[in-house]
Amino acid sequence: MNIYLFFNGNCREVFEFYRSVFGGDFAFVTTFREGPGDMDVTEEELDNIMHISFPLGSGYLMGSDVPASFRPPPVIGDNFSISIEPTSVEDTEEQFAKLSDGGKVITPLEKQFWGAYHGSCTDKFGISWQFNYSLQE
Amino acid sequence: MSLTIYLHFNGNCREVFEFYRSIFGGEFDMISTFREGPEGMPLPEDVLDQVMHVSYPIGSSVLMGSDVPEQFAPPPVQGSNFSISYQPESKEAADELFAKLSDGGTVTMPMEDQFWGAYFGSCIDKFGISWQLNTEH
Repeated sequence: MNIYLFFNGNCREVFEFYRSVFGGDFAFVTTFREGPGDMDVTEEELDNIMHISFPLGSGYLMGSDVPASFRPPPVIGDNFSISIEPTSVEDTEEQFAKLSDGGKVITPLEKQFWGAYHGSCTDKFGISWQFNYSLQE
Repeated sequence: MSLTIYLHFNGNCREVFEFYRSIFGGEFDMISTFREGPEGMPLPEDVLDQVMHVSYPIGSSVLMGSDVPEQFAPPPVQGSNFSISYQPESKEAADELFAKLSDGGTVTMPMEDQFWGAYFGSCIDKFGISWQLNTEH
């Protein structure tokens, strides 16, 4: 089960941002130019992302742009967040700082009653994240 | 580092996760309400039995969620910029899951063989959550 994110043409920029935060490499990235020839995509949309897959921890963060002919432009909602459990306090603090840079901190990193060092933020592209580093042994 | 999808709801989180459990089977790892949370949460009586946290293993992943009382944050806004991508093990499993998930919802792309070598379909379930099922040949 993976999270699939949809964008209005800036998918590559968003995923490059995530790669700059978490490191590693894309498992797969392809544009509409590389898709089947009969796709209903305009010239300006051909270099938009048809599919990208970025290994992140135990899963994959996936995404694409959405050509205008496919369906209405994606509307940013806040009824989901991406929850990650970093492997150290240092990683948690460093990644949280980078991800929230230019975005908005919703709850700062703090020790919470469920035994974790937790914080949440919305990044500069409108995607919500939660960091949860378990302090239990 | 683990990566998990976290869904936020306006009070019907339990109903949504019971719906998913009726489709994917298994049990919740954990489900707790605000009544079970720390004393002193600024919540009215009628919100105390809403879900503070639910964790539900599906396949090799975990789907998490909670309700969001208005005392904590504005009500979650449904967008169209993400979907949950799931990989059923067979065409038969995909067809069965797709029929159940889209029941009462909207089929956005029926299950069909696609150019990338998968049997694929997408739908929005009756609670507004978007799904993609992708079975590799």
